Amino acid sequence: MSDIQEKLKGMLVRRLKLKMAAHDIKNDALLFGEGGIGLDSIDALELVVGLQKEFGVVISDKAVAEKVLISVNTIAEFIENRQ
Amino acid sequence: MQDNPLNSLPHAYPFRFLDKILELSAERGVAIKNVTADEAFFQGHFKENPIMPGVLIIETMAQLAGLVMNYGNAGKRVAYLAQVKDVKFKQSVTAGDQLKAIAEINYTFLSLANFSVKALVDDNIAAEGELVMAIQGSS
Repeated sequence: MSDIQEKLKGMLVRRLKLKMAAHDIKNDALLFGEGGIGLDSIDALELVVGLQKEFGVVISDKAVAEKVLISVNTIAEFIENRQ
Repeated sequence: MQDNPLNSLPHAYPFRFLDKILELSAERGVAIKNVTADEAFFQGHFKENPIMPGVLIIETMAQLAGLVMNYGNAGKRVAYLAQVKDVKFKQSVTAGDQLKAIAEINYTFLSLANFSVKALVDDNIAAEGELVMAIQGSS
């Protein structure tokens, strides 16, 4: 699980051009909105494509996105359940 | 004229930058903008050296991307430019040039779509990059 989380953080920093280091992202930090990483809906597009290309998981509807795209932990769990 | 996709473009003079659609589908569009000497922007950009502003080349490509994104839903939804990514300008565009814009969807998620876009003059790339478009309204 921790390998997935580290790989996820690397992907987030690289694809979303985040101005922070991967190791500064906490596993349970909120990805969207204030008080967390601060991603927006346009970042969500890049994130979903990154998950598909680099982890082979597809998020195609809003309901799944709202359950999965919460934190590094929730995304890692989603990936693990599909591997 | 009802079938002309340009009629569904929400933009009007003096901010319509597409003159003719050559190809349009839900994935890709190709269109022409004839850049004429009487374009309003040439009065000041620049006084002695008329060059089409890069931002208006981006606008041309974005208007086409909006038509692609709205394909099949014309008039019901509006596509807004949400992000400009890695756009490069490789040659100037001036009066008398025919600008050919190409917009192709790379990927979509919910109301957003990422496009590869190009603007060519005589088959030479004047500008290229990526645009993200966002749809608002019901489908």
